[in-house]
Amino acid sequence: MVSLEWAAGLGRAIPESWFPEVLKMTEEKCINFSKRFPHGAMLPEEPKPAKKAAPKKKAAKKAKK
Amino acid sequence: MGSEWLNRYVSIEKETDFGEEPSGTQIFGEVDDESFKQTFDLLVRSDMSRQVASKAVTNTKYGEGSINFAVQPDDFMGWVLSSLLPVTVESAFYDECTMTSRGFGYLAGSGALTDDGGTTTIGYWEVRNGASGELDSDNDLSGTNGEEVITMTSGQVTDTAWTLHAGVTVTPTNPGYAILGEPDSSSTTKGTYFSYTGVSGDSQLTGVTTYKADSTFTTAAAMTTVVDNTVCVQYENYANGIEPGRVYAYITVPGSGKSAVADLDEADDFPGLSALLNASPKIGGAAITGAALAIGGASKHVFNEPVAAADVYPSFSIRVGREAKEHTFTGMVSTRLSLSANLNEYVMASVDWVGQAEETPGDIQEGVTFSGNDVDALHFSGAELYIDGSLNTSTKVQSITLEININRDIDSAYAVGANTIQRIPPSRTREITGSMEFNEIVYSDTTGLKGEPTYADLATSTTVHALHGGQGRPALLIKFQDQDDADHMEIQLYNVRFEAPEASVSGRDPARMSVNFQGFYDSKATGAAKAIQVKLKGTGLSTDAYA
Repeated sequence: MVSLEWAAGLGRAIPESWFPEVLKMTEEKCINFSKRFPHGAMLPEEPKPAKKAAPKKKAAKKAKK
Repeated sequence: MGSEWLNRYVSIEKETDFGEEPSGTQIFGEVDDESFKQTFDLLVRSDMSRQVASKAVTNTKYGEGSINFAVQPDDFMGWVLSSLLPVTVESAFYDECTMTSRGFGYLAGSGALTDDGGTTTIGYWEVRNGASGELDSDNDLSGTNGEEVITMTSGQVTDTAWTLHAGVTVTPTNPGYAILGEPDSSSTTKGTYFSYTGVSGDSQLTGVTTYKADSTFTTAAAMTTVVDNTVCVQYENYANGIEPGRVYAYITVPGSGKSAVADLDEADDFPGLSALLNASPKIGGAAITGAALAIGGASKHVFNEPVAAADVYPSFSIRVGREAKEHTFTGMVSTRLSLSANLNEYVMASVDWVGQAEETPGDIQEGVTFSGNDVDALHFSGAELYIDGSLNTSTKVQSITLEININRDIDSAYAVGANTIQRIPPSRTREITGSMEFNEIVYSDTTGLKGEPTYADLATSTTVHALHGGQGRPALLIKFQDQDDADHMEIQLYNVRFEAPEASVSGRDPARMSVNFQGFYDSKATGAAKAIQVKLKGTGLSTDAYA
């Protein structure tokens, strides 16, 4: 069975949704399978850190009548 | 005259309104043969005036036909599946519950799985153990591997607990397997996978070999002392790959519009589970970590039975290219699908359709594009059968067939005023039947079984042999794969009961066993609430649902 790092070395842009199947493949099958996809990076991008929520603006005080 | 082979095709296209030929995108399938035709009888006057009847008109007309083809992970197969299992979602459905660690040492049990902290049940979790117990004292396991003894609390070894493994008495040729505590490759005290070859008294396991964290039981590794009360759980059946004391979860409500969930909470989303861990006096178990819900992902489709009023079976216009002319059959609905996987063959499908009368043949289409142009058909060597939740495929099944029949009633689709059907022929009982042939007669003392029914289960038992574990655990999971083990179709049945087996011997043929089975609705309170579910994944499949 291959690892994702090994599969990434094939230089094909295998989508993340296929990673579970890739992990169960032999090297030969993974090489064949990878040819279905264009050249490119396989591993997904590192998840971006969550954006901090913008500070809530204080509601403007109602003008006193 | 047309150009013969260039213009042979079968296409299907979903209709918006029953019987009205659409003009959208046709899906062309690479079928082996088709037999579409329109059928009618003559309605003959039976007056008494003459010996020979003199008048007749056309009686009720309908279209019918079958297609036979190799199962391919293409859009044609997707639409065919949706014709029988119309509740279908692509990508955005809960596909499976994954875990970084399934934990160690849980006692056997089950419960609901939720995605919102305990409110909405989307499936079930379960822990499947053989026997369980805990150490009676500090156990020194530093002796000779294969000759160790594990002593548990007295009374925990009985005629049925620990003495049997997968229903067969534990011996050196049929060892038992178990997990003690939390195996750790860097520790000789926390726990270990171990096998044993016998029992002694009411508390001891003998002939113990320890493997530390090697779950394959390949490389023996010495331990030192494991402390008193450390939890000890036995494999229900080592061959099926389900580890004891660990948590497995099944999705029964895949839903739609779902996103992956990364952080399920053991206490809230697995209600009842935490009470099974380290229940006094047991210690040494470890909780699950990293529980998450994965979605199907692009080009993975799930197909289910209709459950709501809005879930209707679709109708299709089927166009058949017959070299010179195109024959069009509108209002076609499928009534039967059969699948078969035999040695030396592609996985074959056969679908029966019924519908309205045929239209006048029209111009042939040329240069059509088949939906499976870029994929290979699934074949027998990629066919796998997983029985009763086993994680390991059976190695004893030689062929398998499955048929889904919804028994459409054409008579109920007619109305006066027209001689062809006026509404979708209503479906009747959904019958799911199948058969499997084993490459040997499977007896009850056969070791290494992964859940396969034995001859005794099937023939000599006083009760019907049922595979119906509930909790969303598939009774039968049939998986057909392509040659890369990538594109696949997965059929899950949740409640299977077997008929009588055949195991006769003929001439010089080897002895084999075959048995028919039927699939039923899983009506358990904590069951799947369905009879069947199909998943189809392929790099060539649509990224839109077949709906």
